[in-house]
Amino acid sequence: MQTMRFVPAERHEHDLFDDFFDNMLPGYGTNELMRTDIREKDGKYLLDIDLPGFKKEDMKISLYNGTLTISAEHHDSQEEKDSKGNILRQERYSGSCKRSFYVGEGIHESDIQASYQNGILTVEMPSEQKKQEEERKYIDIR
Amino acid sequence: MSYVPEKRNSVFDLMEDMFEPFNMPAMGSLMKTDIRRKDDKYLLDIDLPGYRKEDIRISLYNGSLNISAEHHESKEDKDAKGNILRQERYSGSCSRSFYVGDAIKDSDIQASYQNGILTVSFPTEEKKEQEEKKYIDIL
Repeated sequence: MQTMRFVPAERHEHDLFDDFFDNMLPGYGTNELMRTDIREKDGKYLLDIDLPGFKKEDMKISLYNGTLTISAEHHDSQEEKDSKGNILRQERYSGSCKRSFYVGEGIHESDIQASYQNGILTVEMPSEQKKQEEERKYIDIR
Repeated sequence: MSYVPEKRNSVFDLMEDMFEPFNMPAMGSLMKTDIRRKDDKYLLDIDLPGYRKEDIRISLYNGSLNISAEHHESKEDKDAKGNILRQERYSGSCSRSFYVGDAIKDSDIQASYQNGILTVSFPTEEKKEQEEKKYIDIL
């Protein structure tokens, strides 16, 4: 089972996948947005994150200091907004959201792969330590 | 948003109460739906990430539009997932109904599923009235 601890200073003992949920919005608790399943399979960790209704370009995955951050925004142009018609009811969340997971110092950007299908962003990374040469800032989403 | 079992006639009611309560009130965070009106159609955008098209069912009965979604994973699919370390996403079935009135028929409804959003559209009552008018040809 996961324990979640907030450690503001240096981190030495982190549970893997400690997560720091950045968007505690009123009305949307931690259990509403970006729900994530984490599983391990064949030497890889896979994160399945609920992110319906975004475009690939609007989602960003980055790795910094052992922390993996996934963020998603809507960048609708004014025309796209106007073409939606009159809104009679709005329940779906239409803002941006972000979530971070601690993955440890052994992971590099090049180790991480991501794909987006049916509204789920799947991020995978090796669970065994590996060394990679390439450096990339953002992870491509297939 | 009130639960009113009897039929409604006025256009005003259709736009106001286009929704019946969930079967399971605790699942208030599932299937969040935006409703909009564009040109002569109503469009419902429903959050349904992670399903396959085959697992989503839309049906119309007694003026009520019902959308339900289930996971039909085989044992191999489940085993292929690996070890589960954390499960937050909802993995069961869900359904939601909307009152749309008696003027709508199955053939009026269109639906598409993209990026985890099910979009259901059907014509407004004014549009349906226009279609009903029939003119006699003059030979």
